[in-house]
Amino acid sequence: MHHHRLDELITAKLSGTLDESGREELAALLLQHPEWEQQAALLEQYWNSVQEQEAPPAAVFNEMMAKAEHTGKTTVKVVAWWKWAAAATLAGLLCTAGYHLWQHSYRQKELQLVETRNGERRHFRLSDGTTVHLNASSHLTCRLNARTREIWLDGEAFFEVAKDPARPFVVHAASMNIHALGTAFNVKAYPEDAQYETTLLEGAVEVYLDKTPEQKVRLRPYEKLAIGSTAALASPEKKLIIKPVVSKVAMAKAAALPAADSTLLETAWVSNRLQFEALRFDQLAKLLERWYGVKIEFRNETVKNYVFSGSFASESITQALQALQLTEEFHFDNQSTRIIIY
Amino acid sequence: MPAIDLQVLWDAVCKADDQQSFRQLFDHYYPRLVRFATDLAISREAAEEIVSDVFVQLWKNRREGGSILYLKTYLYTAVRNRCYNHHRDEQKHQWLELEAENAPLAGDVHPQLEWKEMQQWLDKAIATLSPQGRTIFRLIREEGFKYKEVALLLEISPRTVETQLVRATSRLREALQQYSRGGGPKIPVP
Repeated sequence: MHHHRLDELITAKLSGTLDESGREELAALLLQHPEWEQQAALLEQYWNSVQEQEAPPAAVFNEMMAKAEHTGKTTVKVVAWWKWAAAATLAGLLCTAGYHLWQHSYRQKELQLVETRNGERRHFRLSDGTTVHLNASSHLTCRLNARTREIWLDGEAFFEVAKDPARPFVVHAASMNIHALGTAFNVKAYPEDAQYETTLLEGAVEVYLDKTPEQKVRLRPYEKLAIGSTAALASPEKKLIIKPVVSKVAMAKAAALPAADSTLLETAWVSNRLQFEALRFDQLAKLLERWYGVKIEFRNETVKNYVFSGSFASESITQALQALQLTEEFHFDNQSTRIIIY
Repeated sequence: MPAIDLQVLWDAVCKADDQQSFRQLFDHYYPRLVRFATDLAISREAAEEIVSDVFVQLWKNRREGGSILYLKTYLYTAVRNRCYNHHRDEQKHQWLELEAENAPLAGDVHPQLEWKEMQQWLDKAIATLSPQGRTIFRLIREEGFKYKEVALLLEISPRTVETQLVRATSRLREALQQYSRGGGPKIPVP
């Protein structure tokens, strides 16, 4: 039966879904059964050695292009072709249908997926006019239709929600559900983090947890709600914590909407700044990993406990680490995508 | 090819009608999509036609390409939809072949398995999974899809995706054990 657990943990590791406690469990299991360690290592090596697919012969591409450039004006067959093409286009567009409201019976899916990798940030506008900034290593699914606007989020995003009282805007992130009406707010819910957060900048949102939908918490502007990721699951009655967020420039906001307040820790990332305050180095390393798309490894336990505050904008990862070295003493070795700190 | 390069190619197609970039996208995705379609129980011939047709539409609609935020998902979903159309008579798509139950792997085990051979050995193990199982394995390993995306694409629950992936891992570990039972004491790790 240990075998099955081992397979589960290895699978999670390979597919990048293993969390902190899983990592520890796997390490403990491999320590107990050294014979599995080599197997795990080989499987990881196999997983990472994807063979490049062979490109098709040129003729296949040319034949396809001939069809693609064929405009077809006269023959009877063309009519059928166009009908078929229209239906096919429709089917194809359904996967980007967050942009379009399709009232079509074939497949009533209006889902759209957007994701970012480590070190990548994107911003885009949804068909209802809502602007979304998606932080690194995040995954967003949205469904917009005539009745609702729903978002599922893993990771961090800043939303400037277009006003539309007829269609509520709801974000589901980890165990949180955030209900908004014309609002600017930030949601941070990376599965591997110890805490999930919602920060409100404008308007109003109501937040409730999956397990306690009747217990709603209303946030006012410049308030942040934080819940522990594990506590939220274990004891749903746990009170939600509301913290006032302190802006360095007190309420110096332009009348025009937008915008994430760049002086605010919670939303600095939207203006391309990585900001942190009194953060332990190992936690900061996680932020840096996402921000710069690198892997950071500690070879020194003392260094992990250093605490830093600061902000980075256009610095490279090397410059950022050098800046940190001005405050505390440590060494690092930058091997392009992997950085060792000691 | 990294996702970002593919995105750059796609931008060049949308904004500059760049056929060379389109060719590169085609070369990259064509074999993967054909394999995906054949796993959805489509004949090789029909699969090739379906994938070519999806690219025909992609080229025709390139000007509106800005609305395709995520090309990979678009392509896989478009191929899936066409495969379903292909099976239109059936109410629900079914995975046709059943998984070969613990079928022993064919082929000799040499004591000095080189890494390359080991890789082929494990590829064979994956080939013994059900079409659904190996599709899931490939989508996640080779295309970098997430559980949830695969679940949406194949219209199954994320839980099933996970279960199938764990099964693939078990099968791979069995294959490794089979190897060490059948042959050499040491597996070279390059």
